Amino acid sequence: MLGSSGQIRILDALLATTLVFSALTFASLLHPAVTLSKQEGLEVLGRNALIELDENGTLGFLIDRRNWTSIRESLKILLPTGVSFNLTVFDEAEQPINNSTISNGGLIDRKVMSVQYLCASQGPDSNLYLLRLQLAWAW
Amino acid sequence: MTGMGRVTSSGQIFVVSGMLIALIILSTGLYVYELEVSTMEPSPCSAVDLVLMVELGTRHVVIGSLANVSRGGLNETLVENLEKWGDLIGEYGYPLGRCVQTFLAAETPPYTSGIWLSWGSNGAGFSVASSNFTLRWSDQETDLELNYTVSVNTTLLIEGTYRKTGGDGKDVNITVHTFNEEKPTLLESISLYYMASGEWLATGPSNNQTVTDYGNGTYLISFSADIPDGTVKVSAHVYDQRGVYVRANTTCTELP
Repeated sequence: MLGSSGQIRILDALLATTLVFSALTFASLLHPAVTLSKQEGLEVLGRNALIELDENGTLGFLIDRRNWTSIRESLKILLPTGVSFNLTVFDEAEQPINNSTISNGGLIDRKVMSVQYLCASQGPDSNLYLLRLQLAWAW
Repeated sequence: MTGMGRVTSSGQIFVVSGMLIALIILSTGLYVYELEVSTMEPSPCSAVDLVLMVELGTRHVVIGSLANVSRGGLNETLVENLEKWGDLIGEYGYPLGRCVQTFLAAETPPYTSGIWLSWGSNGAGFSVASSNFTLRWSDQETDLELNYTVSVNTTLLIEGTYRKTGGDGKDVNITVHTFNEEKPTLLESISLYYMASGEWLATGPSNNQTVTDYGNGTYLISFSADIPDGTVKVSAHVYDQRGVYVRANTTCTELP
């Protein structure tokens, strides 16, 4: 029915499809498999960063002063490069109080871990806060 | 020519079909990928993390409450703040189980509602807060209890000497030592007063006051003043870097 050149083109199309499909499969294999242990590691990193920042009362002090920039910069230092984060600070009435984003960029990974942390400030008003830190590997 | 053209267009259709199939696969793949991006629920923390978080917060509440009471707040502030903190722990502390913190503020004299303020005239001043805590947490696998004590204090020790300079004039040297939990600490601010004719007067620039900070919680303050009284009494009022206030009075020793 078809000439040999037609058959070649069909073969060509099939090969192209196979090639694209294989490339996609290969790419998904190359993407770092986000294993459970890696996610748990992310959670430990996030919690440790918050504990370290809270150790001498710095975290509560910065929240009391609504110094979101310093909190973001501190987290950038405390968390390893390659970890994306987004922190939301809630007051006792569970209302978010950070009016600017405390983040180092988008959470672009497929698995986002969320760490919850309770913080009390050392100030004379002893303000209490609930923190939610979302974390993801950036690659 | 006609036959050749039919073959070419037929081949083109197949190429386009192939590309379309590839696009569909690609789109489906991307769609599935996007669906997989999800935000997980807050994960429960380990026992160690829970204890660290709760103990840190408790300590901060005790320090903040001591700062409040030492600045004139009610003694009950500590108990009220710890109750609020306990409520927050109960609600959010341990997402996968139950977590309760109870406390017993120190009531043994000289403490009242966990607070002891002693601002004496013997050269020593103390602002102290102390409380015992029990943290219990349980889930399907664990049922644990931890007892711990949080005691924070700011201690001020002062001693002074003076030398007569003629008339009522006196050169006074005051050495100030400050401690947080028995460790030397730096001060946020310090004010010095001396007693003249039954009144406490603040030292200022007219008294040629100098403050030497040794960087280890020890300060040497020197000033000159006309003090008609036979004795030189001074009072130091300080705030430590945590905002806790403490003061102490002393009578200076005369140097020949």
